[in-house]
Amino acid sequence: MSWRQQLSSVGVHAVLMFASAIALYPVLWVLKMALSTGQRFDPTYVPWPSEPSGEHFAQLLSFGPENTFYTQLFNSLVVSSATTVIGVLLACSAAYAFSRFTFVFKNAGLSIFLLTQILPGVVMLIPLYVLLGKLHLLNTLTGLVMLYSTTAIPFSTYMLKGYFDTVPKDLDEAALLDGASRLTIFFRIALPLARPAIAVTALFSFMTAWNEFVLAATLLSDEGKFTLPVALQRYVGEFRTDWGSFAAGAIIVSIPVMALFYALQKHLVGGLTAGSVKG
Amino acid sequence: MASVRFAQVQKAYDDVQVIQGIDLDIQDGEFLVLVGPSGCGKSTCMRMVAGLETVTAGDILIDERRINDVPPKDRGIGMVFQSYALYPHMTVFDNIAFGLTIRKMSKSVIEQRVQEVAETLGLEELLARKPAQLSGGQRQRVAMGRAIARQPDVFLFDEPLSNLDSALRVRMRAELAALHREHKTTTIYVTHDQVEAMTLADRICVLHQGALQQVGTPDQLFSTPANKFVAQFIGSPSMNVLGPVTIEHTDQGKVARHQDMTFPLPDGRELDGVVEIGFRPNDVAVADDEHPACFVGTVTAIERMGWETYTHLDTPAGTVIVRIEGERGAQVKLGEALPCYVWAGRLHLFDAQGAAR
Repeated sequence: MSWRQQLSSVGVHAVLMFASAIALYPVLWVLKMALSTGQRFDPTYVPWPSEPSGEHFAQLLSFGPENTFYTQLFNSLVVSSATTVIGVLLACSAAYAFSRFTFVFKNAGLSIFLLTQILPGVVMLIPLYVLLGKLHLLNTLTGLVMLYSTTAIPFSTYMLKGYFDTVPKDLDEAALLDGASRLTIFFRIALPLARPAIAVTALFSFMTAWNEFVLAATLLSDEGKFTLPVALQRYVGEFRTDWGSFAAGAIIVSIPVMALFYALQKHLVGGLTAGSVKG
Repeated sequence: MASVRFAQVQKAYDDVQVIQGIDLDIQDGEFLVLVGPSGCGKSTCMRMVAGLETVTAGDILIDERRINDVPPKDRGIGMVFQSYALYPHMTVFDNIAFGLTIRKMSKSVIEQRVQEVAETLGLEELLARKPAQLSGGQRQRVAMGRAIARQPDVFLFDEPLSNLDSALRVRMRAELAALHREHKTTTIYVTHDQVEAMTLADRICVLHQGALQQVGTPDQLFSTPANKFVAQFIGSPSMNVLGPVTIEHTDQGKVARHQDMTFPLPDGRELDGVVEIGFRPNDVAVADDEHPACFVGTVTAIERMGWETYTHLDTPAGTVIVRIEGERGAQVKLGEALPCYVWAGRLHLFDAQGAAR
C-alpha cells in the first residue's frame, strides 16, 4: 500500500469514527441516565454513570398491581403484531394482483396509494378521530390497528409489487401448465420467492406501529390501553420529569426493534434494493 | 399422443394483427419446428396452443377437440420455457414432482415417476439440489423432466437451447432427438436457429410477419423453397438472390442476364414473370475450361472453415457469397478476381412477388 493510500485510509477511518461518535454519543447518554441512581446524574461530558445502578430498570420491570408497564408492553406487542399480520397479508395479495393482472383502474389505484403517502398523518388526525368516534372505536386497540394497517398497506404494496415484478412470469405460466390454480401459484410460488421483501415490509409495519406516538396519544385515553410510546411520554411531566425511568423505558422499548433489525438485516439490504437492477 | 390443428388461427393485440390466419396440421407423433425471424409470431402460436394466449379468431384443435376455451392445465400440454422457469425455491425432485402433486397423485406414484424421469435424463444424483446449484445443461434437463413427468399428449419447446453454449447445444440437440425417437410424443418446437430446425424436425414451418410461408421437410424447404423469404431464411450462409434479370435466348439456350453476369437456365422451366434468380453458396464453383464463368467477382472477405472456405465477392449485383472446397479455397486471396460458375439445375427463380417459379 502506498503512503497516499495509507493516508487516505486513515482519513476515511477518522471521518467514520467521528461520525460514529456523533451518532452514538446521545445513545450513551440515554444509557447513562438509565443507569444513574435516582434522578441524579452528573452533568459532565462523560457518557457513562459514576455510580451505575439498575434501579430504574428494576422499578420499571417490577411486578405489582401499580405497575402498568407489562400491560402497555402487551398492548404494543398486540397492536404491532396485528398491524404487521393484517398489513402484510393484504399488501401481499394486492401487490401480486397489481403485478400480475390487468384490471380497470389499475394505474389509478396505484396512484391513489401514492397519494395517501403524500399527506402527513397529522393532517388526517381530526377526520380520523371523528371517524373512529362514529365507529365507537376510540380508545380501543382495534381502532389503532385499523389505522396503522391502512397507513402501512400502501407502502408495503408498492414495495412488494416491485419485488413481484422481478419474479419471472414464466414461473406462473409453468405452474399454470402444471395444473396449479392462481391461488396455488400465489401461495406456493410467489410468496415463498418474495420472502426477503415480505421480511422487509413486515419489519417496516411492525416498527411503524411500535414507534407511533401521535395517533396513539390522541386516540387512547385509558392508561390500561396505552402503547409504550404513550406510556413513556407520561414520565415527562409539566413540573417534574423522571429522566431515569424515561431513559430505562426508552431502552427497553427499542430492544425488540433492534433485535428484529439484527435478525432481518440480511433481507433488509437485499429487499430494499430488490428490483433496482435486472438480475 | 395427439394431433394438433390450426384452423384459420388469428391473433391480434388491440389493432395489431400478429398472426394472420394460419392453417396447419401437425400429425400425431410428429416433430414440427416453427422457425422465423424475431417477432414473426412463432412463440405466440405456441403460447396459443398452451393456453397462455387467447385466440382472437379461428380454432386450435388437439385430437380434433376444440381447445380455444379449455384451461391450460386441461390441454394435456408439457412446455419447456426458454428461461427454463424452474421454481428456484424447490429441489429438482419437487420441481419435477410439482405437476403431479398438484394433480393429487399418490406419493408412491410420484416417487416412481420422478425416479423414471431422472433416470431417463441422468438426473438421479441431482434430485436434492436446488436450481441455483445446477449448470445450464442440467437446468435444461430438469425443465424437460418436469414436462415429461406429466406424460403430456403434446410437448412444446420454446427456444429451449438458446441459453446454452454451442458445444452443449449440440449435445442437448442429440438428446432431444433421442428423447423424441423414444417417446414419439407430438412436439412443437420454436427456434430461430435453423441448424436446430434442420436437424430435429420431421417438418419445418416457416413464419414471417405472422403469416405461414411454407411447411415441409427440411429437404423440401432447402431444395424447393416456396418463396424468396424461405429461400434466404433456410440455409447458412443464406442464398444469394440477385436481380432484376432479363431472360434471353442464345445459341447455348436460355440465359438470365443481370448487367454483365450471365446465368444459363435449365430447360423446361416456366420463365414468364421471372425477375430475380437465386443460388446457394455451395452451388457455385470456380470456373474452368469446362464450366465457363457466369460472373467475375473481387474477393472482399474470406471465412476459412477448414475444408471449405466462404468467400465474399464484390460483383455488379452486390455481395455474393461462394463456398469453395479444398485446396482451391485455401488459395483464395483478398482482392483476387474470381471467375465463378453456377450449376444451372440449382438456380432458383422468383417472380415480382418473390414467389418461386
